[in-house]
Amino acid sequence: MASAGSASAAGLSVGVPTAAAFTDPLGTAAPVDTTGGAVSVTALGSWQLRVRGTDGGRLRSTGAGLCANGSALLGNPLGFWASGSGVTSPGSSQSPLTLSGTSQVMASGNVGGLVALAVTVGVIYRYVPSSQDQLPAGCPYSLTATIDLSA
Amino acid sequence: MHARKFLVVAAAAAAVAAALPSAASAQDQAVTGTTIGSTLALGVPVAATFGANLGPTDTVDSTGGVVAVTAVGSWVMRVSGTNGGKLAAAVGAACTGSTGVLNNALHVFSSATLGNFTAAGTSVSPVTLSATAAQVASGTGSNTVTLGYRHRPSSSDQFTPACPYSLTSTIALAAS
Repeated sequence: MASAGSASAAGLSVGVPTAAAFTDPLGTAAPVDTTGGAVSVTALGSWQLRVRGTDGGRLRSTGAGLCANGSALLGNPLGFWASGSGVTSPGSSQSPLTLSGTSQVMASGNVGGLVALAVTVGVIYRYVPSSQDQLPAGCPYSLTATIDLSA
Repeated sequence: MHARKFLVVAAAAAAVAAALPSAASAQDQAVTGTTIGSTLALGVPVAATFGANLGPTDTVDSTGGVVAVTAVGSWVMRVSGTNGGKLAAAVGAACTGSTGVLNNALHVFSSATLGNFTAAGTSVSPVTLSATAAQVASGTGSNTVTLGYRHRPSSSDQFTPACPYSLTSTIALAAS
């Protein structure tokens, strides 16, 4: 029994995340949340997802074309939290965590039993406008979040 | 019998575990968004006041005159003034004998707290205020703009002591 448990706890795999997109446009008036962001974790035993973002968790534009005269880097880092069945997140929509360049725990879980299971973790990011943001019209902004999985 | 079943399950679990990487792994996720097409809002301007007294010898500049611009996209700010941009005396005993409407129109210039801003009128080269809206600034995105007004005395102005002068300027903001 001890032999079976010990072998299964080491199994971990993370899938390629689906992109998270702000379906409502970024503006000056109100926060907006992403949709579509998810990552699949296959695990047996306890697992933990951590996340960090480029540019200290701030959205960046190309600075060219439509974006030429605006803020290249927005003022506020994104907020984030995770959701899903069997998923525990220290952040929530009421109290998001703040994305940064340092990895921090986004979600955790524990797959019991003797067979590895896939768990889908929804990832939501929130943009909160800053009074320092100078937004050009129709300008795309993006960042890359790196999601780490560990036991 | 019971013990044999358990061994089979244990072997299956170990096989699944062996098929999964045991070390931590990382994947990148794209987070993307696009700004809205365009939006513009102008806050209520703070009054501009000549802190130094108006007189026949020196030019004086106003203080205050702050106006908030909330915008996505590019914009142009234009300003016009009552009485052709000239200060008018208040009605009252203190102004009896003082010039009713001063002879020189005020000059106006702009500055801002953030970049992505261009002043059409500067303190070195201000714009002359008139009844026709004239561009004093342009920019992209939100900003806090300060409009300064300058009074330059005319030799034809006649002042009585403590006579209040004022005008109303109208600030217009438009997308560009």
